[in-house]
Amino acid sequence: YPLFQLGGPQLRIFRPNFFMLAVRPGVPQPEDTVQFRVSMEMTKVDIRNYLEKIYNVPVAAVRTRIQYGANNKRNHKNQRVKKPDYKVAYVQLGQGQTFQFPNLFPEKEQDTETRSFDDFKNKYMEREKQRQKGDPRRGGVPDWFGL
Amino acid sequence: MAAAAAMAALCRRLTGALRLPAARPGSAAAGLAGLTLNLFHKNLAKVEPLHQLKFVHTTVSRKGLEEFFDDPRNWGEKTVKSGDAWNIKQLRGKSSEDLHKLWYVLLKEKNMLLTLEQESKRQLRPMPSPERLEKVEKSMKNIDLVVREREVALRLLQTGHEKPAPGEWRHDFLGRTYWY
Repeated sequence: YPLFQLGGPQLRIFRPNFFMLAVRPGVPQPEDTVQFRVSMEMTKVDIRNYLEKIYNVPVAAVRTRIQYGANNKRNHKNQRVKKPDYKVAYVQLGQGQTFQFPNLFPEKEQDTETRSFDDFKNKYMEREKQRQKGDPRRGGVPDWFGL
Repeated sequence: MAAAAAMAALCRRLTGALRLPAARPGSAAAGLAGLTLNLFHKNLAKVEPLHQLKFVHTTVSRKGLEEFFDDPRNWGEKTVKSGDAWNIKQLRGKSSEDLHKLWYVLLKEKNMLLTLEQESKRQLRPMPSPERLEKVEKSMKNIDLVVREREVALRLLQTGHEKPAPGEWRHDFLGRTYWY
C-alpha cells in the first residue's frame, strides 16, 4: 500500500481485487470463529472492513497468520515444486452469531438414467468376471496345469 | 475499503427507486450476462408483506456469511448452469455505478467459487462447473479495462496527458530499454 503521511488523504481502494475464501477448519474452532484464507496483502483492519462493508457481517476480532507452503516436493526433473503460501484469518463474529461450516456435497438421489447405467455397468462387470474364470469343475486351478 | 460504504448507500437508494417484479428463481448465476439491474431481487422477495404497504420498504442484502456458499439447491449437483462472461462491448454500455456494483457482485461470486474449489479439494470430490471461475475472472478483467479506458479518456480531456505520473523510456548502460 502507498505510505500514509500525516494530513494526507485516507487510502481508498475502489475496486478491491482481494479474494477471501471460507475454509473448513482442520482443528475444531469455537462456535463463533470462522476460518478464512485471504490474499497475502490483506491486514486485520482490511479483513474487518471487507467483511463488514461487502458481506454485512459484524466482526468482533480478527487474528491472522501466514501459512508457509512446503517446497520439498520434486517433479520429474528433480526440481523443487513449491506449494503457494497463503494467509489464514480467524474471524470472531460479533453480536453472538455462530457459524458451522456446511456440508457442500450432500448425497443426492440419482435419477433413473444414472441408476440404469450403473446397473448395466455392474451386470457387464459380472459377465466379464464369469468369462475370466475357467472351468468350475477344476476347482479354481488354472488351466496351464497339465490335465 | 471505505468507499464500499458509499457503494452500499447507493445500492440502498437504488433498491428503493427500483420497482421490481416477482423474484426470478431461474437466475442462479448472479453477475453473469443476462442479469441486468435486478441485482438484489432475491432479497426484496424475502421481505414479509406488511398489511398496509403505504411506504417504500427497502432492504440491503441480509444474507451475511451465506454468500460465501452457493444456493443450497445447488449443493451436491454434478454441474451448475451459468451464463457467458461479460463482454467488453456489453460493459462499455453500462454506467460507472453499474460497473462498480457489478464488480462487487463478481467479487462475491469469485469468493464463493474459490470456497467451493477448496472444499471440493478437501472432500476429494470434483468441483461442479469449474469454468465459472474463468468466466468471472475474465469479466472482472474486462471491467478493469473499461474503467481504465474511461479514466484515461477523462484525464486526456482534463489535462492532456494519458498517464497519471510522467515517465519516459530509457536505456541502461547495457542498452536494455526500461520505463522510468
